Amino acid sequence: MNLFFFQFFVNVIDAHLICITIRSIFMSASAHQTTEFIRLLTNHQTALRGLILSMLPGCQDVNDILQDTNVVLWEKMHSYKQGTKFKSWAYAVARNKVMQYWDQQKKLSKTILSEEMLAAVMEARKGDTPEWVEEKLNALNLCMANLKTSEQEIVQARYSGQGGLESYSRNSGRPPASLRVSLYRIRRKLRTCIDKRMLLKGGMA
Amino acid sequence: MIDTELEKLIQDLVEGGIDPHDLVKLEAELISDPQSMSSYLAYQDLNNLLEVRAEICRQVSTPVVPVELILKRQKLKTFRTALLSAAALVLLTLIVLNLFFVKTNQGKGLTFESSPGTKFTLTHSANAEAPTGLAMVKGSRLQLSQGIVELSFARGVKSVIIAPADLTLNDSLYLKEGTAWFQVPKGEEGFIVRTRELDIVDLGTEFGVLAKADDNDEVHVLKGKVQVTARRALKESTTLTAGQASKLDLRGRLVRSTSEFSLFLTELPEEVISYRGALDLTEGTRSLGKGGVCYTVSSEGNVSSNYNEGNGDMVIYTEGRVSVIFSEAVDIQISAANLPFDQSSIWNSDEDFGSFSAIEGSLSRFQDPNKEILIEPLSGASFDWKFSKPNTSELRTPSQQTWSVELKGIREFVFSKDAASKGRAAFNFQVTSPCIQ
Repeated sequence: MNLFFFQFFVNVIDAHLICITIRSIFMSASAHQTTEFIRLLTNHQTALRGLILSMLPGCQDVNDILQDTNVVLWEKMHSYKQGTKFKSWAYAVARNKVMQYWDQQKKLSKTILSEEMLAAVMEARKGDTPEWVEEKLNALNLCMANLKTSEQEIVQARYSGQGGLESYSRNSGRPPASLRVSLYRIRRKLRTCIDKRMLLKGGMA
Repeated sequence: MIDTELEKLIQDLVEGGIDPHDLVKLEAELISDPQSMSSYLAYQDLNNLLEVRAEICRQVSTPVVPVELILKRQKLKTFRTALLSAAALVLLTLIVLNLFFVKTNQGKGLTFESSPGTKFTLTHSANAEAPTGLAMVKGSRLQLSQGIVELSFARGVKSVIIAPADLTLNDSLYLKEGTAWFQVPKGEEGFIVRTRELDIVDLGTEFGVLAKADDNDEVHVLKGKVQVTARRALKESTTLTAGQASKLDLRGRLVRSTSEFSLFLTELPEEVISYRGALDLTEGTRSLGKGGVCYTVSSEGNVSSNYNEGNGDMVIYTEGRVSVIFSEAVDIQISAANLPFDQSSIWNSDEDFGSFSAIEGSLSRFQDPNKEILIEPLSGASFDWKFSKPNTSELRTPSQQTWSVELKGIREFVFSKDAASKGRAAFNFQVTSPCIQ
């Protein structure tokens, strides 16, 4: 996978689609360092996204904030010392990006978590590891397969980004309130299933 | 706070319907009770993973490489592995795209890059959100008038396509015209390329396609296997293995031959493609070398080209006209053809032969040590010409003639033999690209 990733970077650079700054960083870094950095960045993507989402629940711009975080991490690749805690550094950058977004939302009087709550989430997230998050994703895939077809449809409607539950409600004839209750139960079922599977693997759940 | 109440509040928060008073209550609970905080994070983790998984599924179900084909060929366990690895691959691609590309390009479809000197037109379907940069999504069409592009599909398929080319990304890749090499990574079998005449499904790793505007399409298998199906007539289908090639014959049947790796390029050249050699004056569109300047030849009257195969010779028997349009200006040298001595006819002998008309360029050099032709310049690089009457007793062939005309910066020319002109005439065309300044 790293090889693919590295190759992709070379292609991207050849395409002249990235800025000269990034090119110069890439050209001056050793291939090994860059590859290792890409590996770390890749491994932490799901965990970083999870951190951002738990600080900005229900936020529609999570991917944008993750992208902004990635750009900062990439631009500051040289300030990262191999062997030090990548996660702490990446989480700190993500937190800063979240706070920028949080400030904007506050000015717009949007419903957001308090600063105290954000600090508590950061503290609670200290125990995350990217491997653990990936294990959970694998567990989720298996748990999804155990859901009934009707339950899978509701999950798909909520997360596929194609009209959401409202559209599914119109097509299926089921009232939105009923679907929300079902979704609540499905999530609980999935959480229980994932916890069991993580326990079986000796994980942290 | 009891679990059900806690979970209801968390759900309200995530779905955007929480009451401000409830939010204060929830926050107080989460900050004060580690167990509640753990439940909140587990809930958010699930949301995060479901969103990531949905994104992966969206990518996996894109029609560029239909996963159904993988499913058909693999047992369930193997399929799961393939799905997971494909998902991981897609996720990686998305990450890179998120890093460097604008948001409209979410890794669907493909991105491409081009070699220096490439000329192309990229258009997008009005029904789809147009991506920015060098990217194609469903409905995008890429027309190459010169040069080479390398396509990188979101699923890891790589392709290098030589101009002239015309391709559209639909449920599969439709290659209307072009010389294309494809490399399909392991686990991504089922990649489909369509041409006007053939449906090609990759069952292995590496193959090439020649889609021609004026001839039958061909598929060449370089590694692995390919299934090819004719789209017309008998709709024959066959599986080709490495070293085999196939094309349709006039009856619509698939005919096998040996694959030719040398027809294709597997990577982008770093410099503009240069060419020095014969100009093929067969009707149609082609390029000078692989990916060099493209040109279109059309002819009227009694004209035959490549009298001696591949060396740029052309014969005009009676009245005739050849028109050539280049995508970039080139230098041309015209001289007498290299015909064998055993021709018994008198060649290049008419006093009022015809004309050479060019839109741009100049006549840079004219050599005629034996006084064999007479040039009457018109304007720029255009001129009329006559042949001096040869000594008929010696029956000279063109290969004995020593004249040559050199032209610079030609973009388009018409070479014609007048209706009043008699006899046969034969010429040789050599071309240099890019032009020498």
